[in-house]
Amino acid sequence: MPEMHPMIQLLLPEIALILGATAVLLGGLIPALRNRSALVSLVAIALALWLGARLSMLEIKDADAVVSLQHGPLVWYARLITLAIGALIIMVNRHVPDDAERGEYFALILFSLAGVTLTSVANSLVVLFLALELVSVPTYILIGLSRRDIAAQEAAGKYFFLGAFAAAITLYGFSFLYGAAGTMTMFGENSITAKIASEGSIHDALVLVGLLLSLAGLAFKIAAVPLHFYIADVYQGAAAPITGMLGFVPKFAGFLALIQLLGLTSWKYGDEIFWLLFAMAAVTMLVGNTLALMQHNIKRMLAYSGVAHSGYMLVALVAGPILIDTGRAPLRDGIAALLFYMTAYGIMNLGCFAALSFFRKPGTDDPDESAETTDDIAGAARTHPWAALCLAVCTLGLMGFPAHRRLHGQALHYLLGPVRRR
Amino acid sequence: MFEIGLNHYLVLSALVFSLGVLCMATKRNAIGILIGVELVLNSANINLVAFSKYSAGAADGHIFAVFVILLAAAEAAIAIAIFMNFYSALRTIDVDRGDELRN
Repeated sequence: MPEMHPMIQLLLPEIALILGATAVLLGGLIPALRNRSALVSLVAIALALWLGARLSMLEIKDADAVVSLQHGPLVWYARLITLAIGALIIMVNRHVPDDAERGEYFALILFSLAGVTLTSVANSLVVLFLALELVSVPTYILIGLSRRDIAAQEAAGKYFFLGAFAAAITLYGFSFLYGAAGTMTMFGENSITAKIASEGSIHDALVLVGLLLSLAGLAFKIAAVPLHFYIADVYQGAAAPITGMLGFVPKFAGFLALIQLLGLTSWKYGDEIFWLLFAMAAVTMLVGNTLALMQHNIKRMLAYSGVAHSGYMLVALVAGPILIDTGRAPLRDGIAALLFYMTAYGIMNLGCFAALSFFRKPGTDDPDESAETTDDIAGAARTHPWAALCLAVCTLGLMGFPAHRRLHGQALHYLLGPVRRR
Repeated sequence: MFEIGLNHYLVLSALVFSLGVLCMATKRNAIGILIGVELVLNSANINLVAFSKYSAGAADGHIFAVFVILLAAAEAAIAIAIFMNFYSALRTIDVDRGDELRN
């Protein structure tokens, strides 16, 4: 690779994604090029994946001189699974948008994916906040574009208001973290982590308020109880293929940001935050599963199932990395379990919604009359055998049957570790 | 005479934050809710600039505030686009009228 500024080198995959998105956006203006939008998006993702893989093997000169970005196993892993599942998302969505909107639609998906990978690359509160917004702002538009009817507009409106509000609260929390440490840099020398560790100021009121407010805003992104109430409405209103994306992209970004934030305290956060996360995980699992049982609409049921899965992943987050090395990004134990679970969940969830997008209400062929309730898909195995098989496999996977079982056990084991130590 | 210090700014931003939250919770007009979101963003901006001046001594808080202002503008543009669609479907931007989605 030719000599480049280390900052550009660290960001090459994201630059490829953004350039690809811009090309798709502009190409969408030309009718002859519109049909290639999905293909060009896939090429951009493949390019970003290749660049990411090259970077992970390369020794980058002066990489530590770039204070606002980080690199390491967490970044490589986040890029790999975001881009791999992102390619699946593009393929699942290829028939969704109207002809005139193909360019915007795929460009927005690419922007959102770039936001997820940037969340893991961020080593500064500014970059972290802008990355989180880059994830969510395109999703507001995508929901509105995905279907023509009132329900989709209402879902976009609800998601926008609550999402913008949660982002504003996260920002308010970040401002206190900045005030407590006097720097935006998250890890490394002269950073928030170093300040908190050296002054032992975990119980400093500013740090505590900052962390609590940021956690509240991020709990919305991962749809943890009590900030889960919007999710069923949004899933129901959006078209099924874009719902499959909503289950993975904002949730993964939220968990990456949570990993970064808890890392600020070197994972030695106080009892207040420990019990808050503990209670949130327990209540999220319980409420998510209970509400899912009460639904007749399949998308609402899957939405609450997603809430419950966030609870499982919160368990792994509470466990955290048991052995902390001096590197910038911890990637083992609870965090490794979380990332692995996220990958499996992202694929299974996308599979469910991809299959669901094939089914229509009985007796119609209109794409706007997609199947809603469990009665609508009765006998689907006869009309759409492959889609029905895919739905069955993916729902079984979401139930934790059979390969997930070991994972649950592992997460619980890591959870009990810190509890026993206390 | 008293000097204006960090605490005055923090109290002001907490006030603006509470007003923003209150505005979000009580307004039924979509534009009113958007104003609430902007108030909360601006309360964070006040914090950032005040901390930058009084405790950090570096300009990064100011720079973050500029980014947040840009972001607020982008969000407002998207909000207006969503309201236009909402309005053309329902002939109102009263958010309570959106009740298509329920169990």
